[in-house]
Amino acid sequence: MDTFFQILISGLVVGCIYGLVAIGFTTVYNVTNVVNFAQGESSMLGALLTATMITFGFSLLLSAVCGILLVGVLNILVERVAIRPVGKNITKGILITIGVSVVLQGLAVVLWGTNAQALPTFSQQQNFNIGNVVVASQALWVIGTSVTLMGGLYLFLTRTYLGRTFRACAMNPDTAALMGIPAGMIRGLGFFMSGGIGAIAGIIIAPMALMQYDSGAALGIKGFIACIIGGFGNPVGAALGGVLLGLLEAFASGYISSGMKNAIAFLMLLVFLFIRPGGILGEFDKVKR
Amino acid sequence: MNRAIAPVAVVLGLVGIYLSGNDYLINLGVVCAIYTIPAIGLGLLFGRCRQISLGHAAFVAIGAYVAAITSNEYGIDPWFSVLLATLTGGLCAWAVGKLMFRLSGHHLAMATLALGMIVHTVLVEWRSVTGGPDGTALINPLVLGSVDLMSDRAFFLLGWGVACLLLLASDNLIRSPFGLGLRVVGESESVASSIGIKPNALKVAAMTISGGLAGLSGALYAYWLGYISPDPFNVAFSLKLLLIVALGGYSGSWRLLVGVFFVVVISEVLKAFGRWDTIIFGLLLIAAMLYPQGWLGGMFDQFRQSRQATAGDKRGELN
Amino acid sequence: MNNKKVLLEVKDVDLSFGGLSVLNKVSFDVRGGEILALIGPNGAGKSSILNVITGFYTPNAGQVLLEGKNLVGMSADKIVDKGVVRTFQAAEILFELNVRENVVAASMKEMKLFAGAIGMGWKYGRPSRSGELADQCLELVGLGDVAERSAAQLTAGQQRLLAAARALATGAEILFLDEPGAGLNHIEKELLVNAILRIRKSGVTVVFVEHDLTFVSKLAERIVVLNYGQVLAKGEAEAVRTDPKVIDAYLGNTEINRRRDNRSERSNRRLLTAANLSASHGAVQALEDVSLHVDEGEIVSLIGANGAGKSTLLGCISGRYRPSQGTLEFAGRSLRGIAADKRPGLGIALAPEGRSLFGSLTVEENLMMGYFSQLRRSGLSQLIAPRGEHHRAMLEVMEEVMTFFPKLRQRRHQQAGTLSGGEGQMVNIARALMSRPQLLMLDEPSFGLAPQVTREILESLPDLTRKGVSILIIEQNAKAALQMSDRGYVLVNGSIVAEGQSNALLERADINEAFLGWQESTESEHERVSA
Repeated sequence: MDTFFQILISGLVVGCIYGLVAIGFTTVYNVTNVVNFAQGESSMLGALLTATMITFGFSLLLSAVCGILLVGVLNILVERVAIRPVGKNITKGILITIGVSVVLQGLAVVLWGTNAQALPTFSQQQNFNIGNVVVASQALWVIGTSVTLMGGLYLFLTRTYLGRTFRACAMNPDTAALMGIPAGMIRGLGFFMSGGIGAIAGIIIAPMALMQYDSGAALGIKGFIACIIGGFGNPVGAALGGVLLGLLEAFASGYISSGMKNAIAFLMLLVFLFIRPGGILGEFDKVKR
Repeated sequence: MNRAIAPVAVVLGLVGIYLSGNDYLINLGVVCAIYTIPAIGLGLLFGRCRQISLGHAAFVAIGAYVAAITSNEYGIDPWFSVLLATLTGGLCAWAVGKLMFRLSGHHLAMATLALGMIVHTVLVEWRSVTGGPDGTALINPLVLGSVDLMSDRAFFLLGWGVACLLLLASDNLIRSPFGLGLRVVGESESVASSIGIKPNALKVAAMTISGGLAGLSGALYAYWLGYISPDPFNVAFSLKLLLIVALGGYSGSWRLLVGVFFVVVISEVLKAFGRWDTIIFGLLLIAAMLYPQGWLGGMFDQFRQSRQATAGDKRGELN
Repeated sequence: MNNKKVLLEVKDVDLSFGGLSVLNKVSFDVRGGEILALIGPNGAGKSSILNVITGFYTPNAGQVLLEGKNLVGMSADKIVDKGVVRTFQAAEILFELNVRENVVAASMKEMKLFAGAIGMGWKYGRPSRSGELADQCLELVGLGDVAERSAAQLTAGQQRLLAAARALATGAEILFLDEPGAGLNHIEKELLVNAILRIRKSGVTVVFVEHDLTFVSKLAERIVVLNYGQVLAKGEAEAVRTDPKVIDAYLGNTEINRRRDNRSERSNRRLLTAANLSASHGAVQALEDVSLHVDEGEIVSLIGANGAGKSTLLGCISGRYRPSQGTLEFAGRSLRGIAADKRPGLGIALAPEGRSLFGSLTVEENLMMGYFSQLRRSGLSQLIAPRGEHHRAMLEVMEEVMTFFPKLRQRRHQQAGTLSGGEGQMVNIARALMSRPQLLMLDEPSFGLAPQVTREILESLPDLTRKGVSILIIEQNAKAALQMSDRGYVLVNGSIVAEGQSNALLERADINEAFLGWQESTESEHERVSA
């Protein structure tokens, strides 16, 4: 039973991270119809930038905020320079975002080398014991931050004026333009948010899993799979799909074999692509009749 | 007459390289040949039919490993193992095509990307068969009569012989009804079915051909190097192939060589930049998408058109 | 003509999308060697029935019998093999091929992979004649001279002809043309008419969907009229033309009770002036030298058949399209260079066609979106969450708008996608009013609505002008639009052919005729007879 809880917690931690990456995909996809294959790189860059700031002697909080903002701004730039010009061509969008991911990874190699970087845990105390189960304090940070962020995003989309504008733009961009809603601004906002969310995911997981130049790519693929599981374009589904995928992976590697981890993820991808391409929840903004 | 210019120029250039006796150039030439063969297949699939495959390295890997394993473990004649590798590549691609072409756009891209990674993982994990991350050496060389083909010079001839034959065939195919059908499907599937063309059948056919050629190239690569490991068959390799097709003007014929030479030469030049090489490669990929056919391929096109115009030759492609 | 053999029979076809019925027990037949026109107002289901016949949609019920054999359930390419071939509304030319290749692509029955690879492709069996066949088809439609040209260089008219040639090359016995004349000018249409007549002469049966009734009357021997997904009338062209039901379906039979009095208090200050406006979509010339104006407090209606360029004109004013020529002036200020998303802030609002609501937002949230341009001025922090006076101001405007459409008050928290058509249209208009516009433009407010609902909405509009709003309205429902407006413009093929006081336009007998297009054809027939 103790192993079960141990696995459950590690699954939840990884699942939350996948969920955040998946939300990053969703945010961009909804307003631009682009699947940003460089989404994972936001997490990598966020973590590495924060680590560097800390070595310069800044506090963790300040470093993290700077890392998040920098990645967000970088994402806006990428959208302006590379993604907006191709318009609606899906194939080009795919290859360009892959190109962006290659460039960002290369940049990370130049700046940080191929060695992994670590962040300090957020709390002094390393572990808690609950019964016989050992829980890392950072695990609580990850779960807490993720749940707060996901909840916050949900409230943003459903309760604030700007969030509704965002959804309106995703549902019907032409009509949104008639209301005077500037599409470029909303696109920029989408990329900024997805970069920020991705960076946060990278920063909170970095103390538990070392980050290096290619860590983002792996996270990106898992995040995409989480999107497919939950229903592409649906932020709630993305979170759900992420947690589900994290749990499945954890249990598969805990009870079957650790090599099964990736196999499970790809299996889920194929199962959902071919059997239920709409994912578990389907569209977020669907009309309930 | 114009149809002959590109092939003749290419062959003359290759003969020149061979006669120069420069080992470095010949070695690069072999690399080019090995990139050209799968690029021809991808030229049909991605260039003509506009179906993206981010996992093409998987078929090359399958070819390489099938050749290595059948010849090492089962003592099959190396030439026959090359044939077997080609067929296996084609068969796998056919099955993948049947399954995947129900998808399109982002989903197709991700599914093929996942396919590439699955194959890569299997190659690393299935140690008993593949030798794991350390790879495996090929014991038996390719032999023609009594000539050992393992040297760069011999392989240069073999590789380019095969590549040129395939380019010729692909060039023919593109001009045939089949090739026209591929272009129609690539441009609009609904138009294709409105004029009686079955989009899926053509897509699967293109996929099968490209898988077979990828397998062939993998097998040749394995015999040339005499040693294979999972490492080279990564996503970057698939991306390089796509870049070649894009730079070659999305064509499936001789123009691909523009992309091949460019990518191989650039890769060599970039080695001097050390860690900056991937950055430049990525920028190149982005630029190739943002300025489609605007440079290399386009320059080639303009050159050809201006030649055609001056020659007063108004024959269409079909004659 | 009546004794021609029935070639294709459409029997009780039902089609619905997500509970919305698109076709309802549609039955008609196509006879060998004839030219049949499928007409009806926008959204009547004409393209849908075409998609059903050619295998692009699968109907929920019913049959399509080709010489007794059911085509329903066959794949689109199989149906092509049977000789039933279509073109698309947008012509869908393959721009990367040249003109001949476009046609050749359609005539390949066999695509041998191996033969192709060893260079025997075109010499293999049937395809060897493809080039010849292609040339014949191109000659037939009159494109023989441009066979070697790149398809991207063709004009809109030539593209339609090419689409027809391509369909013919498949060996078509029945050719379905989907709006072949849309967006073409008179000369291009004339060429198209001749091409279609030649095609019929070559033994191919032609069925076409069309809005331009002039075009229809030049060609069609028999006509099937669809309305609201049902067959409204069918039969010989002459009988269908004079059928009052058909005329009503086109002009609308909605009587507006609240006629506009010619109020004298109306100022004569120009609000909007469009001068010599031209615009095109790709190769299609949508507007040509259009001039119109709207005065403050005025209701102006713009009537014309589908594809006449009405929506393009509104698009130019709202900033969605950029006119190729001419000037637009709003409240004394040129609109040149002002981006679309800045125009609502100036006081220009458009309630788009087909309602276009944000389906999963509530009615209230939809209205809030309409206030965006006002809120934008007060800064980003207000956009995240409007507070204080800005929030109050937004609620005030919302109250005002809801007073105008009281029904919306009850629906306030309902998802907009669940509203009925009429309520949806009210939200659409109310949303446009949220930006406190000086000029409200309405694009087909009666689209898809029952006459009673249309009347309710149209009758409420004159009240708006008392609040200082001017209205520019586009309608297919010409009669009702003229009844409620002060002045009107009639747009035909991208040009204004008549303008004046609405009452005067209503009384001019020839407007109905000109608008419908029958008249012009009978005239030209007379001309032909006398000449």
